[in-house]
Amino acid sequence: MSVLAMDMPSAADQPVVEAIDLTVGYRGARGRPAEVLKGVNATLKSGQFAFLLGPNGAGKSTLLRTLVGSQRSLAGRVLLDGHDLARLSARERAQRLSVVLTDRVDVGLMSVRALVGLGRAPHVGWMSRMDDEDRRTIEWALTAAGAQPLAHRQVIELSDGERQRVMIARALAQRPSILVLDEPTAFLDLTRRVELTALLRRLVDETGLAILMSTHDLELALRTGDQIWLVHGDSSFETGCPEDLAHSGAIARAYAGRGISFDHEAGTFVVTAGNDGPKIAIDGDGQAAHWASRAALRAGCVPVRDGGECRWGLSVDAADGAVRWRLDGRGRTRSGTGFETLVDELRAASAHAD
Amino acid sequence: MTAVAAGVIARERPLRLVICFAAFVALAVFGFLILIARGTVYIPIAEVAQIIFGGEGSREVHRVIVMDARLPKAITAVLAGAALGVGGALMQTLFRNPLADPYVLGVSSGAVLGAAIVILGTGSAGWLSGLTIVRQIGVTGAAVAGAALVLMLALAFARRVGNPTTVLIVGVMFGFLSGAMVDVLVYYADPERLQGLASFTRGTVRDVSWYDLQVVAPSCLVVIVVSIILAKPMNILLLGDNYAATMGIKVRPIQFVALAMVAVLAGVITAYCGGIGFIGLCAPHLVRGFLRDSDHFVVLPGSAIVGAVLVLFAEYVAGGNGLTNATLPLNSVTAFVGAPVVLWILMRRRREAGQVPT
Repeated sequence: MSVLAMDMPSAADQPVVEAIDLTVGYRGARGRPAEVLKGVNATLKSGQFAFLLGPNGAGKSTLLRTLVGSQRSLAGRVLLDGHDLARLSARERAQRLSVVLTDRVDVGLMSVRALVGLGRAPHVGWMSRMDDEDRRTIEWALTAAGAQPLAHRQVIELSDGERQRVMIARALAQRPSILVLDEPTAFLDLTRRVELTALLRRLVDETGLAILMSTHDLELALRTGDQIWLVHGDSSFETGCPEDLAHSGAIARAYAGRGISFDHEAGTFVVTAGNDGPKIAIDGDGQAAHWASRAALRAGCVPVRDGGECRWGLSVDAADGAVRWRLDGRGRTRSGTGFETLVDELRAASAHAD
Repeated sequence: MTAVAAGVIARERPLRLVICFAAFVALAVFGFLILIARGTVYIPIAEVAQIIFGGEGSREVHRVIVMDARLPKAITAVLAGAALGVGGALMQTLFRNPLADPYVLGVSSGAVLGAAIVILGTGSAGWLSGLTIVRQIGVTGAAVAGAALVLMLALAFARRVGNPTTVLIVGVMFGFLSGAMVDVLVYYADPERLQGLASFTRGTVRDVSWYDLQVVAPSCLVVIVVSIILAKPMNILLLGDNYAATMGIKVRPIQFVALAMVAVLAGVITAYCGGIGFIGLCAPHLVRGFLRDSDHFVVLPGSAIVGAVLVLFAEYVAGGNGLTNATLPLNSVTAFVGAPVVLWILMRRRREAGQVPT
């Protein structure tokens, strides 16, 4: 039994959030609606982790604001635990759904534990008097978000990453069925992003919480999510499991742009430096060969594994930590150590490729 | 006894809180007593006590001084200080600005302008002249309306510019603008009516009679009680409007009620005591500094008590205290405490300069 497993927020496999024919957008000055997204149909069940992906300006934030009730929908409905979101009071909504925003919080002099305690607001009376249950929930939330060691610190002293954890703990203290996070990894460095995503994944698995999180970390989302909610630039929306959307090319379409392409192997977008460079047959093993082909791509060449018909041949060999390379072509052989010299040589080769 | 102890532990209130509150209350009581006991006319303390508890005193004039001058003055100082302290705490949270305060943001100036329009503008028309009660309520109502108007304008500006220091400048400009309009009104006004306006711009608790207290006391008490009831939503508003909306708070209605409270207290206090500066700014910061906590459940009551303490002692220093013959405007004394606090806040926020809290 994990320390995270408190009582389950809701029974497993229950739909927690349902968007039904939802149209999101803004009402203009004369009541003329400006639609941002149309035909949003999606269901998130308890114990599921969904990532909201899409290019900037496609309407991710608008959709999130509508789903958490901060903004009215133009058409369609949102069901939260089976209740129409628009009919729930602010308090009833906050008991079922909590949110972590990108807003920077400036609370003045407040301890982490007191800030997390504010998460009990929808459950306590006007005096904010807490019983043992409330206090247990606060400690549980601190532990679950990995913020227990910070409990006695002042909020203003925290780093961005620590503050993010504390805001997640505060959201968990609301004991929601669903946690919605708006780009929580935006200000974090790479390792903190991976840590945070892993922490949320564990929460989903061990407590049956549902999480919807918007992000630009495509690779992390495809590896971690149970579902991808994908917003296209043309105001359409689709949802599915990560592999389906990646395989069908939907993700590549959503982010389509000049000079980039979706690399299925890496699960992310890569820069395409034009595919008309010279083909280079790469010979070598393991990591050295992998990074040699990345170096070739960067230099504007097209790496080919075990290709016999190439005019250029590159062999790499990692010995004693240093990478030695040999490039054959046009009747000449060049060799060197380290990828930096290799890239220079490949650039020269691709420049004379014609 | 155990229930009380459990309550204290339950809220995780440390010893520091108990000691600070005890000190605040002790200072307020001391300030109240010293304001009654000392004044330009020397009256022995024993005689003051005797008069307070219903005695006649040695001379009739002593009884009048204590009962009709010093007592209402001290009560007004407590009420005005408490209301201004609470109002400052509310405004600092609503504006998300540590420098917000009814006086600094020009709310008091707006109240003076409202009052001036009624006092000076009704001169020739005369529909209010002679009707003291109607006039009094008219002046107070106009002051509240003027305060509310400036509050709304200042809030609109604060939402746009965000930067606390800029908001401060905007507030000062509102103050100048209102002041200029009052000057224009004065220039064209009937000289006889100017007397009624003189006290507004000075800021004093000396001119409030028992009769006036019938309006001042209930309004201040209502404002203080309602504000303390707002402690929970105010705590959540510390996280910002967007977060508050997702934590079960009806943001707009709460903001409306809180701003209405500030408008009422600034309007009423300005109508009866004139603009008293810096109390609303300092009291909450002193409380947060001493308690090391921004929790409104302690900041709001704490600001009320500390606000009262500040006005009591400022009045003792400014008014006839038997030590010097001079009487100073209240604001020149409060500025001695207030201006350094403003500078201290600005220095402390230097690192975050230019960063807009949203």
